[in-house]
Amino acid sequence: MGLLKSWLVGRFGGVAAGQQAGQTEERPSAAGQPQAGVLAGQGSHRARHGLRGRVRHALPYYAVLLPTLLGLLVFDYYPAFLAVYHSFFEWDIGLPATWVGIDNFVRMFTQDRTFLRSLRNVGIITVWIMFQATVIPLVVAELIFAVKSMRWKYWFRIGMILPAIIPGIVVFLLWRFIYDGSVGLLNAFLTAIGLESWTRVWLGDPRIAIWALTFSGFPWVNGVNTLITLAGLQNINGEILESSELDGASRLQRIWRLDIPLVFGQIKLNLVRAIIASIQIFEVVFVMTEGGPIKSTMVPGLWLYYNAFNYHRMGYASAIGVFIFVTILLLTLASMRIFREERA
Amino acid sequence: MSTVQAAGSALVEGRRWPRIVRYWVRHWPVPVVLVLIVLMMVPMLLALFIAAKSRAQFDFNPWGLTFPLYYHQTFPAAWRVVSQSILNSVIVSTVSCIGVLFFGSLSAYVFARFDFLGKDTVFVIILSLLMIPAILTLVPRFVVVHKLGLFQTMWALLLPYIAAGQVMAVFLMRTFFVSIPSEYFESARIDGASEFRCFWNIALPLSKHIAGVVAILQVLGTWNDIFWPYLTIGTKKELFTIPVALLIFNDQLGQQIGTQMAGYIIASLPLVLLFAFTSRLFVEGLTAGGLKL
Repeated sequence: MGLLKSWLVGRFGGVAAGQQAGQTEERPSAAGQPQAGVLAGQGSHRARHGLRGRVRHALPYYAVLLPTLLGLLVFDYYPAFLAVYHSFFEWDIGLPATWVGIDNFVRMFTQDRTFLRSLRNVGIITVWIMFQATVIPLVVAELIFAVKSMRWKYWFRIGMILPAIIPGIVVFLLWRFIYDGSVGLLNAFLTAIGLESWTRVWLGDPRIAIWALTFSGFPWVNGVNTLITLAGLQNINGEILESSELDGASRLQRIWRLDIPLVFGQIKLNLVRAIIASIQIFEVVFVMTEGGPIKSTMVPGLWLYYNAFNYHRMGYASAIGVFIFVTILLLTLASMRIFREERA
Repeated sequence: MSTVQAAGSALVEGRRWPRIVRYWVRHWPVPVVLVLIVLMMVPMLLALFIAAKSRAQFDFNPWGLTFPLYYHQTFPAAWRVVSQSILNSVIVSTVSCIGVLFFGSLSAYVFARFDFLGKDTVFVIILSLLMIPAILTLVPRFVVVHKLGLFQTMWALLLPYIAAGQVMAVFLMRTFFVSIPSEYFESARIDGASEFRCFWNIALPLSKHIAGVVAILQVLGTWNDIFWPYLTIGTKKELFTIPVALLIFNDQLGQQIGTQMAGYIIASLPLVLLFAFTSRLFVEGLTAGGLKL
């Protein structure tokens, strides 16, 4: 790092001195287009002409960008390329890869019952999270918006964020504990209110586990989404709201006719984020049930992991990854398009 | 006439209900939101209660607060188990944060202030990474790390974290740098400042705020990451980050439930402390994550 800094000082410092000499010609163009080639330095006009000159002019910038680009290339672009590439192979670390065409994708939908099960599960989770990420934050944001005392508002905003800074792993483990069959809070609560027959091993029953998992996190208030929606509400011009009040609109009418259309951008943002996060969900499943019992709570992301590291089918795992990627892409584009039209 | 009016309005506004009732009719959302927030905190309160229990107290009454409190036993016991991994997490978060800020701000500055061949293309290519889900690259990134010989070293965490964190950093900081009036830089250049000094002495000090947002995003992301360290650190206990340690030790500590809960609280404390000092940046950092479209 120190080396890079001294190199930069030398390089840029030298250029600055060179540029000072040619200041008078440089100024007009620099004023018109502020970012334009301050670095052009010695003989800038000649350097800007022709491909070679432009490449030479660009080189120092790329030298500064190099650490960023190199890191992204090695740890992001190359892996992304590998994922797509390997999805057409049967392959494991240290073994030669065999080209299988689209067999991995065909197998996913025709022979892999766990994968099909995982699709159903992720469907359930996604629908719920979409609701949880849009409707509930809107309701809670309206509640906070209706609070008249600024001091309470301030503390409520902080209260919304506090649960969000508890590490996910802690929340997942606590919920695993709440669902526990023998000492769990949920069963204790049901017993206390006389519903003892409802108690069960919530995460141990293959028919119930996916629902228990999906509905963990009561009261399902996503603080971050709430704040995003609240920010939208606070940006609404106060005069519009006042005049609606003068015209005798009820609170519900105002919310339905004014607030929702005006914070639609925020709601859409929350929706798209929910789609992206829930389709690739797997950490919560891994921590709470590891996909069980008997794979009843499997989701595609976790199934990818098991195929890659437990069953040594890296090619197949990559194919699942590509499927998830394409699904997210399509759903995101679709939801953005649908809601754009609806709004117009 | 006027006295009648005043009496009338006093009747409408005042007499019919006592003051306290009128107050809560006006402020009804306050208790509702309060109850919600308490419910949201229930898991953490539970952890706090249970961390105070001895084994016998837990068997007798697992959920309420019981006396005497045994914090003085559970917390030191939990600390002995998780201290190393807390330290590791602090190192990973801090170093990757510094890396992201340093390289990210340099790149953002170059993108914001200069024009050169291929700039826009490269910028769009970098931003396109925001569209690629982490799950797609999980396996091949592991392969790359393995091939580079980084498996079970701290670098397996630091390098990918620094690389990935820069996408958001470049995006946020470039937007900020563009908004700085170019006159600042021009006059500095006329006074003979080098381009690096413009970056170091003008752009960076002005961007403290946005840099804080980037830093918080990075700390949150790395502190909470479960799976990547679980994969790349494997069985090497002395390199565990805090989520991995909690996951692994959870089963070992199953019998000492109080200690286990104390461990959860210890794992959450650093972020809560950070939040206490930078709550505004935290809010912005979390909602800036929402820009990730």
